[in-house]
Amino acid sequence: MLKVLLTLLLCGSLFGSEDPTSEIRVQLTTDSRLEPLYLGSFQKEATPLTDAYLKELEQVLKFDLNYSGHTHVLTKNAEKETILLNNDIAKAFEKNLWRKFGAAHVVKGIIQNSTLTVLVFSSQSGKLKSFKDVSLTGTLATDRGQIHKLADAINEALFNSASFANTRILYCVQMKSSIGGTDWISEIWECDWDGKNARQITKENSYCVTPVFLPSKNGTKDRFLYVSYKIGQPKIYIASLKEAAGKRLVDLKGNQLLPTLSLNCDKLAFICDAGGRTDLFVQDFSPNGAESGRPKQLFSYPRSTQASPTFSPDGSMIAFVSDKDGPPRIYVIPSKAQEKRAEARLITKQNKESSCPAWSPDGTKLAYSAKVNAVRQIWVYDFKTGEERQLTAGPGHKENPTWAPDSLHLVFNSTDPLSSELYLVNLNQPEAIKITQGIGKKQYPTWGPK
Amino acid sequence: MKKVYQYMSLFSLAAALLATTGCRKNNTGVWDENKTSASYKIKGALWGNEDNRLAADKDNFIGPSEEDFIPLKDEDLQSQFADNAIPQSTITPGGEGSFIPGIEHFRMPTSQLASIFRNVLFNTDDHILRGNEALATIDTVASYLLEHPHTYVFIEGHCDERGPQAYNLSLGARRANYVRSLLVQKGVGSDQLHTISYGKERPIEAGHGANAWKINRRAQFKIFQKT
Repeated sequence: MLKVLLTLLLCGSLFGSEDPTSEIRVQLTTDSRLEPLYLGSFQKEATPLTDAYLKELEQVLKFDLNYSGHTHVLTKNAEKETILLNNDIAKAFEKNLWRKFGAAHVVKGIIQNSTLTVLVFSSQSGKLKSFKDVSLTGTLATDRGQIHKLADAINEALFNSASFANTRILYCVQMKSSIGGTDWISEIWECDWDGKNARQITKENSYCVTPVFLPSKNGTKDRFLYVSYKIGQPKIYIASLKEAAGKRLVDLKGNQLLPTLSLNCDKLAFICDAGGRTDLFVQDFSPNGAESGRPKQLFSYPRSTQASPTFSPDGSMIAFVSDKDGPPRIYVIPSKAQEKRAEARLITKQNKESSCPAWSPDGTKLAYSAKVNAVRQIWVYDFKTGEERQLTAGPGHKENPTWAPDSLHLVFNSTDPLSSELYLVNLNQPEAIKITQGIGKKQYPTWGPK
Repeated sequence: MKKVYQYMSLFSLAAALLATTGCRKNNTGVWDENKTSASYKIKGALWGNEDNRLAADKDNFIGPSEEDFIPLKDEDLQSQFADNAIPQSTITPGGEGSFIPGIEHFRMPTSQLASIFRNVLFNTDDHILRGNEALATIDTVASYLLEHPHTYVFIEGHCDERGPQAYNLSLGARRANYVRSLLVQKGVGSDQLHTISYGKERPIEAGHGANAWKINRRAQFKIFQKT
């Protein structure tokens, strides 16, 4: 008996010891869920729009369908194009033929005058669906929006997918100040989900960081919170895409950082050092864009730093970063403030250092960033199973993920010593796509409401 | 009997192995364990004398004003063994009606003042100043500010490039507040001291090696002298 005990003790000591240098092994998923889709060239009939312009619109639709997380667009070829040119619908969309080509779905666009009609055929069911009367203006910025709406409609019809393509992304661009000196400035920009239509929003010539859209309430989709250093210490402001001059929120002393809102737009959470530590605070908020009542200290802990709160979709819980137990990790607590802090539940156990959590709108997942072999990658925690999986790979520190309204896509920034750009990824296509370019470091993206 | 001794020897060996391997943690592990436990009582022994400077008895605890926000009531946020968090000044520099101007009027110390207001450096992912050099700087800064009550200071908290961006914004604030709390405990007026965090956004050393990281993990002073 004693021998057995000793053996167990020895085995326990050998296998239970922690090797800090051991590698973290990860399992990456494949994109097997994607259904093949053939997107034919837009056919034009008496339209003032040029071929080059139509080609550009076609590329917008191709991007939307290729990175939808449901389909991948097949390579074009002359035979398939000829078949689609057939005016006889039955011949253009012959079920067995398209099955033979390996296309689960076929998309054909026809432009008459300035109106686009799109036919979507499913070779599995043999059903044909028409999306009519997409009005084109000839102005690319406007028409891109129309194409994004069309892509959302196609995805909804085929996959019952929540819309995401007709959304905006806010982010920060950090660059050297143009008004002399050596100071860096950072302004808020917006772009379409594919990175196009980029436009500068704030013009404070200051340091603006960590924007977050107000959830879509009362039909408004253009207001956002952000942190600005324009009066010195970082404070929280509210602004809109049309009126970028921010109005100060949260009347507290010290630094206010990393604001976030509940999906119901009734609670604001942020980090503040008014009490001398960097603590997590909550405050009531109204959908018309004003805080109410006094801020409440929700989580503080001796000798620790709190950061990056994110609400669960129902607003009842908050995930945040704390280093209370050593390196920064992600914990969850109820969002309702009590006299004493709630017990914080550690939810990211696989990695030794985790940061910037983002709760998915459907409530089932949490995206975050964690180091793998000294490089920060995007990970996803599944609330149903408790499992964590690595979503991205490759060089560049990937941080600040935020979810699209469909809870499938994420945007994040990837930083190396020379640049920082925004990337898109979705759970079914782990290969990330760069969506920004040009001068300045792009960081702190946030995805707008649908 | 001999067999019993053999078993006892084996048991001792196993226990020794357990002590050196199964229960062993790296340095960070030891730090983590003590950070989360109720062992702040022995912090002097654990972290060195510099941390005793933070120990203040409960009567001296400066709690946050409930007019500003509703604070938590946890005892460990108020007891003498917690890190003594000193609430921010009631004055916002540059704010409406403030007699202290905004940060744009604060300057990097030059000439003689530069030798007083020297940067203080932190260890990786740490907000506590360690080592006599940093604490000597705090002493010098405190002495100067006590003699010059119309000198106001912005304490900037900075981090190196390696930590997470968003977390570093918080960590920078924590570092600046730690320095502020040391100075307040040395008698410097709370309204003379203001904090600001830049996270890792403003490195002073552009490199990507250990030396650059060490220099960039800092608290830096900017001063305004009211005439």
